Amino acid sequence: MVGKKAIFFTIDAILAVSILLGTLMVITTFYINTQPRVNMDYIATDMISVLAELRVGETNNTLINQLITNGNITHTENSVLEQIGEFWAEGKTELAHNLTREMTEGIIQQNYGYDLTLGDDIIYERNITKKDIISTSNKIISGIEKSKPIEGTVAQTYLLSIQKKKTESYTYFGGFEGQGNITKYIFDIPPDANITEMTLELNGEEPFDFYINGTQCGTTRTPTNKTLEADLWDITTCNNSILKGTENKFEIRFTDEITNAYVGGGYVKIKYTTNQTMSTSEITGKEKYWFPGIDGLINLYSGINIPGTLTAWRLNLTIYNKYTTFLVIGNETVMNVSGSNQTQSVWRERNNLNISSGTIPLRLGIVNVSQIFENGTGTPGDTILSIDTSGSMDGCAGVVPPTMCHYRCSPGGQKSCMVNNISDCNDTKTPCGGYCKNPHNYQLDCQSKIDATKQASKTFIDIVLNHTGNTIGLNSYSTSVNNYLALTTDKPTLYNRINSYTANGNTCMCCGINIARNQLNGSTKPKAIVIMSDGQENQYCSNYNDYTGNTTEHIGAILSGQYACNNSIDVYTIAFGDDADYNTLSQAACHANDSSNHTNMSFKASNVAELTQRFIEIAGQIGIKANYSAQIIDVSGPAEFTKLYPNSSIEFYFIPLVDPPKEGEISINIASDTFKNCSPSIYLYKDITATDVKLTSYSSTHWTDLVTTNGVIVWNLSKYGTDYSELGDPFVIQIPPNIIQSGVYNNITLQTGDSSTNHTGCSANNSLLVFRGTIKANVAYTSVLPEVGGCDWYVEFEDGTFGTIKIPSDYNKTNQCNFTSTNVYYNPNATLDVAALTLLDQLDFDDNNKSDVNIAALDMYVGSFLVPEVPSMWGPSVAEVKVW
Amino acid sequence: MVLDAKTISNSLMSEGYPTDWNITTVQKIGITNGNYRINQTKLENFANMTVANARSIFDTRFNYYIQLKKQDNSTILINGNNSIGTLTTNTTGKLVQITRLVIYDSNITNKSSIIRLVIQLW
Repeated sequence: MVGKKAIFFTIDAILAVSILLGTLMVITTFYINTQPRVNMDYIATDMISVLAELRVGETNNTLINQLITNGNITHTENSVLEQIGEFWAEGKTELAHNLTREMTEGIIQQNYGYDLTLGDDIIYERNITKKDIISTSNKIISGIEKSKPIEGTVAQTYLLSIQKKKTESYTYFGGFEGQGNITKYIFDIPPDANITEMTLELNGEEPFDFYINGTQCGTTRTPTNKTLEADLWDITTCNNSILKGTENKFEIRFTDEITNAYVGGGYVKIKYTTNQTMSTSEITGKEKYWFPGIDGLINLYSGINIPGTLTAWRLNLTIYNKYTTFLVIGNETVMNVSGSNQTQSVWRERNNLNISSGTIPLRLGIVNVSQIFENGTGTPGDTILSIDTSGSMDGCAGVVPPTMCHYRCSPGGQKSCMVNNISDCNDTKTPCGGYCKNPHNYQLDCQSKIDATKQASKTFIDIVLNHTGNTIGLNSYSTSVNNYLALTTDKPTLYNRINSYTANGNTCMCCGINIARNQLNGSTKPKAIVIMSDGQENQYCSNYNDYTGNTTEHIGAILSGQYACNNSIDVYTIAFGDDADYNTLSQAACHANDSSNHTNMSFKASNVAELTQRFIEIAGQIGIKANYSAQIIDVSGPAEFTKLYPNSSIEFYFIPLVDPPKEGEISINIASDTFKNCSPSIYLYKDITATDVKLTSYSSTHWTDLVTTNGVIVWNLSKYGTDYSELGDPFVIQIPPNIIQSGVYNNITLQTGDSSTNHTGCSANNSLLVFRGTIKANVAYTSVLPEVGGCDWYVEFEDGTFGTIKIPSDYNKTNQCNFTSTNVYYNPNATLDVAALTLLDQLDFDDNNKSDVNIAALDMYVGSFLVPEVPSMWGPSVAEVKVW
Repeated sequence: MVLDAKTISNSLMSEGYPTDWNITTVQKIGITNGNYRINQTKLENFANMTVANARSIFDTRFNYYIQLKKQDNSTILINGNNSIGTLTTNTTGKLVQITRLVIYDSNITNKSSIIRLVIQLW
């Protein structure tokens, strides 16, 4: 038992000793291993910290002093570690090595190995074999990267349009503006505008003279009358007629009948350069639609574009119309004004309207136009036009055609004629068709009554014969009947006969009436005689069939006229001039209490304009037919002319859907090519943000009734009604910009029609998609580059032209850079060149090395910011110290 | 002992406490500006402290011997002495040495250099 206990205690003692020895061994090992490791850790940490803390400029070190002296160290505020990093980044590895060695060898005990690395490169290493235990410490050095500059210059380039912004001002015609002479205005041509191009494009049928601020631009223009197409005229030569800084008035004065006196869409465009940055037509939350001036029959089909949410509108309309005038916006009749014999100003104001944003149809017209103009006989008739050709008809009619020359000729007496030039009024020429004397007697401000009557008679013939079934005969009278022409529908024959009239002799009105009544014998149609005279009758007739004239008063004009009235002939009379015998002529005419339905059949005219108007009015009463053919009021002659004054407008207030260009953005306009089909695909470059997109459609006398964009219906006239005759027809249709996508083809469809079920195709050849968009006008700063640069950039533009652009704009050296489809050349180490290239790349929307924004053509100025001595933003790089 | 050596070295590499400490206010002995740069005033204050007081603040029972050594291994004098503390010449016991790197601003050359702060405990 004792033995067992001894063994037990012995084993116990051995175990205790073993544990004690083991503990001692562990402690010893800990001591042996821990102390060097602690020092290694401290060396690694301290070394990189003191190198990062100590500035080279304060260091007491011979090598550093040399490096500063010889210019290898230029930034004495650098820490030693930063300086080592700079040497490394600049490729001066030996200097980095030497500096590291110089600063570390003396302070690290010789029994330790260590190295300093930057990136993957060992800058310095003490050549002692690495041990298993290595302590490391690192620090980030910003602004350096191998082979990158430690400091340099950064630049930013940007487009400025303020130097000379090339822009355009438009006035658009509505889808149908008529009928009669049209007046439009452009208000926003700035005072400093330098006009470079002017164009007139429109769809129409009838010849017209184009006036700018009262001055005729060129000669009479004749449209080619192509349905759904337009004619384009370059009117740049008329730029001297443009007034800058104020409103400009443009007039379309038609030269023929009113039925075709319309414009079926189009525009006047003026291109110019200006220093002004913002056009008054930029998006502002307020837009004003200006009605066209219409002198004839108010018949307007147009549209308004509201690029936002409508909040209010204000109408200001000035009209002259004896009949009721209506205005429909969308499908709501917002105005219905009774006719008046006086000019009326109409005001309407609303805070809301049941219309949304976008394009809204607008229709202004005359109520029940067909009823108004069918208050004549309504059926075809036969008319004799009896014209006074007595000697007094060579007298002055009191008009003011500036090239009217008045002669006293021998033989032939007094004559007047139109001349092309005032110098033609001399006795060496024969402007009147004969040898003339005393040319000094001409009156430049006078047109003879015979010539005025010829002109008005032709207008009368045009109107009456425009109605199928009507016929006209002629006679002229002076001392007796001079000649007569049987009823006919042949205009040239009638014109020629009228042209042959000369003024001479006395005045026998009854002669004209009597032979006219005989000329109408056998006619089964409604019959009329129109007799005009400028004087007192001094020749008479012996009976109702006599037209030879005599000086004995048996039967005069009154009896002859009433005799004709009693024989179912409507007798109209016109007293022309101050010397005319209106009393006699008014009694010669048929009156309201006669069998006819006419309320007024005798007229006065004191000048050419009134004479023409009277002939037109009579023509209207004789055989008017007026009805709509598509958008045209097809008239044989208007009963009363109406007038819409061009100061009429609607002002809209709205919340814009698209913000105006922001700082750093520049607004540009881009127009597509004209469409070649009804379903074009239009590409919008990827770097453009569309802010305003418009489609033009030459619908001619039809309505543009459907437009879709990328599958979305953006214009649908039928939603306003199936009967288009009461709806507007916009020439310009707004497409919501958020539907247009950048960087892809946008699919457009357009369609025209006369009703929701009667489609007429589309405007396939002249329509355009016009974008206003914004592009980023500047680029971000470049990275730090060692050179500044600057170049004369030779740039190829998308339109096929080339231009040289100085970047910066004051560059005066000889460096050449290229940005063309065949060559892109620049200095990649020059910050201005890199910035310029970045900008050009930004303007090259389709990445074909052609700038899509023609900087040169737009007179744009490329500005630049340059910031020198910028510490590099390269890196950061990691410096690491290892100790073993 | 190693742990005490590390504690003392870390303390000395700090600003101390309070940061503008002196012999009478000192609660933690630090002789740098906190960024490896020797503060001459604090260094001299430390040199002027008694060993007993310093050991008490260091909370160590060991003796210390501290020197500042240049790259050429020469010693920087502190208050005319080449060390702070004493080192027995016949030490047979354990000795722990920790070396730290610091920046020393010379008021003679008005230049700075990297030196070693050598701390020995025994």
